[in-house]
Amino acid sequence: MKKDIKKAGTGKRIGVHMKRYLPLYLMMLPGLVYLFINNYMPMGGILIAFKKYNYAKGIFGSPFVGLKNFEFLFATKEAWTITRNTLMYNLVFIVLGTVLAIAVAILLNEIRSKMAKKVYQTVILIPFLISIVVVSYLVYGFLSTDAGFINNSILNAMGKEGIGWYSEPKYWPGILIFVNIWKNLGYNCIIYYATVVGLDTSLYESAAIDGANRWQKILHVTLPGLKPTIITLTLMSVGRIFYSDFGLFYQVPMNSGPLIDVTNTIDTYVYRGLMELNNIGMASAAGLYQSLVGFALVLIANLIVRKLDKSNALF
Amino acid sequence: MKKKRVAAALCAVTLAGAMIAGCGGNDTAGGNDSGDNGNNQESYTVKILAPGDASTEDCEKISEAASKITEEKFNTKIEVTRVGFGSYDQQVNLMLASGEKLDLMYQYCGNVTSAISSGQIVPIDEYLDTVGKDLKEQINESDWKCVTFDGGIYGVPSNKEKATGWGFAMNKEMADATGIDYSNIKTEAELEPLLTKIKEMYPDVYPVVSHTGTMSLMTNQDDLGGDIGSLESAASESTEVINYYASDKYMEEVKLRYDWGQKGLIMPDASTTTESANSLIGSGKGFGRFTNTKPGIEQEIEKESGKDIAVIDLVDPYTTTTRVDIVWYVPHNSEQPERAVQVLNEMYTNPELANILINGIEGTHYQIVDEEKGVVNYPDGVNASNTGYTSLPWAWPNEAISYVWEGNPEDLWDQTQKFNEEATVSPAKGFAWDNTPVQNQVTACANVIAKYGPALECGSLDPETTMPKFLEELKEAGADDIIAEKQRQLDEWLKENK
Repeated sequence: MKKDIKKAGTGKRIGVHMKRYLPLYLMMLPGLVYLFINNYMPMGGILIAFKKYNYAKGIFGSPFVGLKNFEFLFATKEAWTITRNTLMYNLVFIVLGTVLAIAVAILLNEIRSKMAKKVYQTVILIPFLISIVVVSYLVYGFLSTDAGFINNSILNAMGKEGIGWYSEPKYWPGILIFVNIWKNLGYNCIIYYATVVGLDTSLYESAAIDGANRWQKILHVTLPGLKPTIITLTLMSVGRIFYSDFGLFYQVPMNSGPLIDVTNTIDTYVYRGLMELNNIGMASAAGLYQSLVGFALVLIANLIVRKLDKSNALF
Repeated sequence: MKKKRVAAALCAVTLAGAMIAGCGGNDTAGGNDSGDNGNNQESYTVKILAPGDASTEDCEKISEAASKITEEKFNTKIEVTRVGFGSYDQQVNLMLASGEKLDLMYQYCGNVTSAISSGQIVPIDEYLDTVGKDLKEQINESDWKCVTFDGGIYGVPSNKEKATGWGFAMNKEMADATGIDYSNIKTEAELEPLLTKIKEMYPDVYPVVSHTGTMSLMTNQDDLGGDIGSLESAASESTEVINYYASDKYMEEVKLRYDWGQKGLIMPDASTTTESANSLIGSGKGFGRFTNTKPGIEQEIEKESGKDIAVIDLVDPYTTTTRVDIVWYVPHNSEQPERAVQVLNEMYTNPELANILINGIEGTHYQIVDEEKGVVNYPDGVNASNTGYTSLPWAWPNEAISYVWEGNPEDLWDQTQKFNEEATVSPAKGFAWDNTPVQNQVTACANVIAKYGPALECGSLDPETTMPKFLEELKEAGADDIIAEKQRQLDEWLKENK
């Protein structure tokens, strides 16, 4: 009896709930359909990672091979190098990228002239829109051994010997970090800038009345206001920490052999190794491994955030 | 209820199938009676995938012209699709995975064992004995072996140059200006005086340039179908599989190149440049490059660079399984492999059909310059960059029955034939390497080789310090496992094919 009443109660509540929120649910529908078709349906393909894929037999007909497809990722000590490179580069990108993007967003906000603001914004965003292949040639223009700008116009002019940039691994962590930040700063900055602009102006007014200077206003109003955005964006990048920008690590160093120790990431390793083997099973295994680790890291990071501050956690 | 319906559907399908089969059978019989081989077969469309750039409209026109020939003979239509090299492999993978109908395709030999083990292609021997008879007779036994696996024939090797030599191609004008008699140069090391002189006379020109970051090795090693593990020389009788990177020959060559690099005879950044050697020579920035050699190689480089080219032969022509590198396959998603082979046979033996598929339509894509000698060129207003149908004779089953393009030697096909016949044959020719048992090691080694190989071969790394590291890492990556497995397969093959 009790149960029935409860059921009827929930049913009624759901009815009321639906009536109120139906338009919102309807608006959500196209997105959900898209998500389902685009992201969930192909998940059946995960099966391939555990199979010896045979074109004639298809996904379901191919024989199971257990975890054999994953072995190549851990077969040699390269496994350690590529994991280290992927993780460390991404960590630096996340930390440095976030700090710089916020700094620039705040600076943009402090600029009074509307005209200047627009110009800076555009200039910062342009690199994000340039294809990575073009970027790799821009870098080559600077670093090419005999015709490059740095060797030719700077080092030679100072009477110094040119550097063979593409065969000296020690410079590349710095170069790659610089290129990545230069390229992506504009995009990240815009998101933070939008949040800064949206902050309640009355907060600044009251801070001014309390006698806060500019620096204090940034420290006590802007940054706390940005906190939810920072956490969300960071959590999202943590989910992709096991992926690397293929263009950045393959095209920009011009696939140079001597640099491989510092430029080889999981994606480039898989590409170099499977280019000739053409093995779909092994490629899917690598992809699945990356997303599983990413998934786990997001869960852990979110758990930590929730422990520290419940209201800021993603879920 | 449900069961009944299924049963009914099955019945209907079987009946329909029987009817179609019956019709086909009768017709074929009728055709045989009148002596017209297969003219009354049920109609079928053979879909062909070939590499190279071509517009859809031009492909349609060519399909139509080609279909005229095959429809009359076999009641078969042809549908040609071409995909540029950049996306060819990807496109093939997509088409094969999606199950889209495809009857004939071109693919590099490098993938043949993996194509078989992943079920991409089907054996065709039974059809070769019936509808592919002419084709089967024209190709020699050792070439057939290169496409035979576990007793089944899986492809048709293209009739093109099936051997290679190696040499040094250079700007003839500059070479002549040095006054050095280069006709006596026989080895790579002997090139040095010439290169040094070039550097003196033309300080702004790089004496040796690389090709998209690689420089060919002047060696006749037989890599036995790819991956690490080679016979040191195709010309020797030894069938011991070795790690070529650990050989003295390799060390000697990369030492020489490193020395040249230090002396400024090789372009800087040779292992990272993405530019092609021919365009570097064409722009006047480079003097020469290492190249494969074959009949017509001078003209080929001349065409791309726009300079007069001389080629010094450094390694005599030899042939291995790897050299039989263009193979035509029948993919698993062909509905009627027999009809596909029938068309392939026609493509291989009928000059009219071969010319349409290779060169396109007369007047639109080519015009005849010399009817008697069979020489053609682009029509007025058409050139290599704006043609709607790129001509790549070697990519098709049989270039030797098609026209020769102006600028090549008129007897190019005869020269090619002679080249093939005179080349040294490796004792392991016909052996096809199956790398599936050692895939993990192959992946790991590919990464190690990418790290050291090109840079060593372009003279950018010091072999004295790098070589030990290179070999050590190869060992760790499991190179020895690959070599042992290769040796085992080779020994087995040798036993069977003695």
